[in-house]
Amino acid sequence: MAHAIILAAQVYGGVGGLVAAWFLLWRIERVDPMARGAYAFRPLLIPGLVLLWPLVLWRGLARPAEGREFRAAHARIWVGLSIVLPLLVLGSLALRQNGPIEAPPVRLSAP
Amino acid sequence: MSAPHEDFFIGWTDRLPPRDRGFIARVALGFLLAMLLLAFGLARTMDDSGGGSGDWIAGEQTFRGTITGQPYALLHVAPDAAHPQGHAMMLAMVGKYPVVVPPEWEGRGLEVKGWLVRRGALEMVQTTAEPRLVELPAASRAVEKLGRWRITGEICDGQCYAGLMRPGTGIAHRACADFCLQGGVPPVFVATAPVAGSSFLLMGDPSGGPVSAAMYPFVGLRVRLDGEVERRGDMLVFRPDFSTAVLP
Repeated sequence: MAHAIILAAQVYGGVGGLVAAWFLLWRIERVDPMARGAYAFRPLLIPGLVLLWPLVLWRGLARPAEGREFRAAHARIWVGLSIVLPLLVLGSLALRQNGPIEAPPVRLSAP
Repeated sequence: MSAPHEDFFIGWTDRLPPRDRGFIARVALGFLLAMLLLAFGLARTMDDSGGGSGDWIAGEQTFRGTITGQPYALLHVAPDAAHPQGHAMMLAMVGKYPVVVPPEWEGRGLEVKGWLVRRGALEMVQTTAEPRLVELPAASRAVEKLGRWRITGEICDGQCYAGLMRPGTGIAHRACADFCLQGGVPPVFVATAPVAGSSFLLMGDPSGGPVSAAMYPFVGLRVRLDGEVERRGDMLVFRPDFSTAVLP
């Protein structure tokens, strides 16, 4: 089981590396025109691209958004995150395993 | 009326437009206060990490007592002012290894060197060198049976719970506890309410030896178990039957 998990992670990471290379070398300038001529920041994106390569592939192959579409998408994401992040924090606090709640021991039988 | 250019943000001027200054200041202050409140709120929800700690100031110490090997190595030291009935200390080697007691050592005097970690009355010596046999007066190793109990609590490793990790309990510590226990560190059952005066019990198998692998799925979780309890010196030993396990 452990070997299967490691193999799956390696395959996922390998594909992610290929997608990251493709995206950073050929696709990023079409997805975000502001990236034209900017190279120093691109290596910083590699870890995120490797981890999120299915999303990158989906968005990278879609028609590039521009101008107002970008701003509208950012606004939607901003609103969504402002709801989801507090829910995640508060939900994880509410659902976590709490500290010991006293349950007195019961003697079932004498020795 | 301000000049038209004052409404624009111009990077090289190092100044914000006048109409934005108040807004930015209010947002920054509000954000700072919100973060302080969030930090305070989150910190308030954290469980008490307990009072376990290592006696690092004392450094490596030498302990002498009578050794027993089942279910795990226990060093029974002679009574003193703090422990009029004598005191049982758990043993583990530095590096998450068990102290293996050969059958011929059972009940004999042993000298161990190591670091002491303590949480309340629970003490463990992390041995740093091979123990050696010494001549000591025979000590009582009487076992007092306390009957069969149903106890709710958590399976922890005796090393981290005693003070090497803080808190050393809970779901966040599950992986570490699992790692320590697989290495052979004695497991401790931390009860939610005291059992015969003690909130922690060294664990063992009903057959008499160390706990079986049936324990691992329940490590770090609140679990209810039925099993025999006995007293060895001032240490309680719980021998649960894992077929009775209930996750409340």
